[in-house]
Amino acid sequence: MLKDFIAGGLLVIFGALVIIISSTYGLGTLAQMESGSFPFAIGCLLAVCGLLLFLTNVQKGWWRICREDLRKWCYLRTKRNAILRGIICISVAIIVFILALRYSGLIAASFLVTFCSAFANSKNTWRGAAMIAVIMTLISVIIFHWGFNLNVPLY
Amino acid sequence: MQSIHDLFYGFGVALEWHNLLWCFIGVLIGNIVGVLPGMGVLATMSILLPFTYTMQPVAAILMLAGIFYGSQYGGAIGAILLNLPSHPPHAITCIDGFPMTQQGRGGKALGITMLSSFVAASIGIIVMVFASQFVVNLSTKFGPPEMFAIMFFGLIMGSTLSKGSVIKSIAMVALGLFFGCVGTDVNSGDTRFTFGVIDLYDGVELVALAMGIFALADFMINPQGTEVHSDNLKIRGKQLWPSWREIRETLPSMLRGTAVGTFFGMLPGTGTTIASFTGYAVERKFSKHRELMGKGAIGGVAAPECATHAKTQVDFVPTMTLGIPGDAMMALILGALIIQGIDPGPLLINDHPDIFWGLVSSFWIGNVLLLALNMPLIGIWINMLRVPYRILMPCAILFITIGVYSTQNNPFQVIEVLFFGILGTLFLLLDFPIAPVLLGFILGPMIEENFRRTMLLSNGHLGIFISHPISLSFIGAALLILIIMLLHKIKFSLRK
Repeated sequence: MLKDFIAGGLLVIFGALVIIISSTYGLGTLAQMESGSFPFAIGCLLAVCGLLLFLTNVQKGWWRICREDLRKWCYLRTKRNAILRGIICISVAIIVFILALRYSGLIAASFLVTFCSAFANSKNTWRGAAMIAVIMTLISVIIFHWGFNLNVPLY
Repeated sequence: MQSIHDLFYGFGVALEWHNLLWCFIGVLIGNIVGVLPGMGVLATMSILLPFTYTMQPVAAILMLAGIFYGSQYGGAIGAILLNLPSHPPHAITCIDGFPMTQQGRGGKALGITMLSSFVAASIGIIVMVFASQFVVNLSTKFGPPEMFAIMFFGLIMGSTLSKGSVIKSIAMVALGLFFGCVGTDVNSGDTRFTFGVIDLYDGVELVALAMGIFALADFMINPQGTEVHSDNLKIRGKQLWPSWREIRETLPSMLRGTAVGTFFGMLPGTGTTIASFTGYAVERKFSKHRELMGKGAIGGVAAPECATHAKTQVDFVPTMTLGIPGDAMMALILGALIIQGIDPGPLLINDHPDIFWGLVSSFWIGNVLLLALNMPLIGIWINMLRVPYRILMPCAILFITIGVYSTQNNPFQVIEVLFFGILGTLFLLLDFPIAPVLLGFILGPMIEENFRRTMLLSNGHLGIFISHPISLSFIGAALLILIIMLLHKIKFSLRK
């Protein structure tokens, strides 16, 4: 219920953005389509889907149901924290990977991406994460550096 | 007769030692990764896709197909032994597969799964040989309006017949179409939605999109994984082999499942999940041992597995001959073909007979390899089920990042993966089905191209879709399904 409203809202906003941007590319006519025509239609489709999602969910007391959904979500603290932890750790890992690849090489990048992403799971300890990272760095050097001749310096 | 000759030629191609080797490696890797808990077939295939980029086209496609049934089978191991469906179609295999394990017949269930795959492949080859000729003959009459109509039909089927809300699925298809638009427009040379980022001029990278929404999003939303309890799991190669009596009794179930799968394979856009669920439903209706269904009936494992395999295999016909993928998995394989510089379409069978016929026969060979691989190694697979998720996840993320980076040696693609991972997490949180995105993404450029050509032909009159009988029937059918599904949804919400 609440999810559907959020989803609908996001779709309408996104659809509107697509419509606005694609109209700057030139809409053309059906006989003479330009590069904006097809994205324009997609934008309309997205917005319509969003609206439909809204309309099919409007019912008596929808406000109360939404509030109830929100409250339920607030209670799910462990689940919410796990997801948040997953997103943050994995995002950090990938960004660190890119930086390490840029300023150092395969060894640092492999080690750091494995090490950081290991913390997405709360059961991993510092030592455990380091151990996985060391082993995986070794494997990735063997596979990607020697196996596939990846064009990246080792360090 | 020509087809039989071609099929033999295909066996010749698939049995060339380097092709055979790659097929074997594909099956092996697919099997290993598919067994690992939390790795679905789609995630497995998208992670392994970059490895095929540097290979010969025939070897690449054989390896991908090998990865597919390897991981399909690997997923079944988890479903049957641990009640862990890592791929939606396997959810139905759990219903009868897990009770069989509890009764100590888990090995037989696994053996039947392999046998089902083999039976479905054998029948599927025959269907493919004849259907492909038929479709190719038919498709020479297809112009842009017909192609547009079939793609439209495929998109509507793919979004309405999947699980979950129809509107949300259509929105996801539309989003996929949008991502397909990003980059340089082929017709005018304009760049669209690139926001000045030069790396986006070539469009969104298929591998980045697939890995982001199928693999990374899954890790982000569920970093804790599922608890795996695998005590007393001991199965030896010998126990895999069901007795002749059991095979004889299961054969009708397999044939029923294959028939269902073949039927759905003919309809572009229907996913494997619906094929396997229908396969199970049909089995429950016609089985001789109806009372055993859900309590460890061997037919309840065979029928849905056969349906999934037959469906996927027959799906290759529209994917290869028309260039229209049936579901997300086919879209991935189609994308791999395009990256290899091969244009799927009616000309593919004539221009690249080695790819098409090699692929057809590799289904059979791959399944034999699968049997040969699993008899001695089943014990190892079962041990791999015990690999803890907390170790598996960081390793998978390492392979995702380096895999994406290695496709073009471009760090921007890694950022794309992260973007799609976060986007996919958001979709999963909001209960969106994510598979349709890939379908829209692959079909987007093609559907736009065909629509534009149609409009050029007809001088801007939409009536051209109605005046051509083939396009009329496809568009009519698609709209009919859409209206029925939407009305159903509205009625349902009014009743609430």
